[in-house]
Amino acid sequence: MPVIYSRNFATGTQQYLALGPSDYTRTLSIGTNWSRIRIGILAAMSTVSENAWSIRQCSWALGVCNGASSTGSVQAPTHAFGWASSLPSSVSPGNWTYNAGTAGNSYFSGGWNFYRYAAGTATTAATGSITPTLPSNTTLGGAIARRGILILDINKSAMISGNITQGIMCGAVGHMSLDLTTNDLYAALESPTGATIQGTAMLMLALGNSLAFNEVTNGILDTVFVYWSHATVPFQLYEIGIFRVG
Amino acid sequence: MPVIGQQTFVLAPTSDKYLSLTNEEFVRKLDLTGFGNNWSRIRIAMNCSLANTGGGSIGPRFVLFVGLCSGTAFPFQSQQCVNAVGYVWGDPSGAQSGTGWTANAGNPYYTSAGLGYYGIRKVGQGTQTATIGSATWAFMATGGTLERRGWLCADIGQTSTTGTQRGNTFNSAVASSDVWYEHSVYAANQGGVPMILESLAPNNTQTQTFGGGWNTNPLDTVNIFWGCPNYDLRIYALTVCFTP
Repeated sequence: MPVIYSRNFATGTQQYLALGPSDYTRTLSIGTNWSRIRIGILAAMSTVSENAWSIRQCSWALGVCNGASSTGSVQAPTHAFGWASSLPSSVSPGNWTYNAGTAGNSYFSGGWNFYRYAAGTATTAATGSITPTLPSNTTLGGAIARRGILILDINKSAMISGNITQGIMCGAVGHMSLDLTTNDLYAALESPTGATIQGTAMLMLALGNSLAFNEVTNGILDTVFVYWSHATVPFQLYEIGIFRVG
Repeated sequence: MPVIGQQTFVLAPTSDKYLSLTNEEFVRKLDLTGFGNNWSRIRIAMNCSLANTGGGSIGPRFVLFVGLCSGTAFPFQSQQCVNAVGYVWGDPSGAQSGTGWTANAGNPYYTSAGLGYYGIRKVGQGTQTATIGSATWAFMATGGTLERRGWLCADIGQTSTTGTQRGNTFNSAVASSDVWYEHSVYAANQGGVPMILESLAPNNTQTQTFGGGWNTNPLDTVNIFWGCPNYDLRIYALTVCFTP
């Protein structure tokens, strides 16, 4: 069960949701009345017992789905689109690699897929190149308390059925020794192309990886979710922002 | 009858209670409310060790079954076993089977020398087993320069007609280390073959075809059987993880 904690940053205290093997879900007030949305999160990753170890075999996913019963943690979602480091149903998920960073400001980097669940069947697409990163939560070795950003961009070709293309934007290595804030998240969400945050360009993978969707057949995409699979290395979710582009 | 003991460690929990099994089994029904049989894999992981023989094999009755059964009334060792599936180290037929022993400079562990291992399903007194491939197992022994807890798990996968059983233990390369509670849960929570203290777990996978309707009696109960009457299995923590 997710638990709420708080943490001190240079800009003040902020509460966060600690996701164990669980989902955060929220049904959108706009329902499925959107053609393009961006889902942005302000987050950090826990370390494995404060060691310089990678986070082994975990799944992190975010996206939109059909109600709260099609999220990352269910066996066979009826309809979901999103981005995942490894599919939540994978029995051999990938690692999040530990990187020492500079001045103790360690961070993790991982793999990715865009994916679709339709009638319980998963399809992935991973054309393009980007290395997603998020800061660790450690303050050892002189590290400052930091938060990072990842934004998923989901674009429908038509309102009810057609194709969905997706893109992502995340912090560059240069951001890993910086603490990104809620204002930075909002600025990045509203940036029409790759944003420059605190003087450094965000990494960006433009819309692509087309996958067909049909909200009549498989259910409307009206709910945002974030899923994380590790209990002892919880995911720290500080902020989530949804921007309806169109 | 299983008893509760207590042992002292350096790492947390420093005073750790354990369930002691000697030629007996543990069952615990899972709460699958709202979940039912809708899972593709369940991992049963144990933070555990075996009593120290003082320098020799555990045998001849080395049989360790870790898996799932259907209900608590007729588990793996019952002659009326309803449906039990899991991974077994040692010989479930009752034949002689024992381990090797490695002193490991004062931090001993048992090895897989001479030890059988199988993916197994049991219904009544009938068993269906499979053993393909190999792995170099390690089982932590109590006592030593440092008191240590070991780790092992069984992964049980299911489809409508097949079952997959995988055994994993910690790697002997880290046998001098204590797998403390937090890392035990962390290892259990890893989706695939786990890294135990950053060392890849020895593992072995078997897939067996059981036919349609094989899991009509649902696998809803954790079931652990330890066959040796002389040296106890100590279970410090048990973790169950689902893959949807």
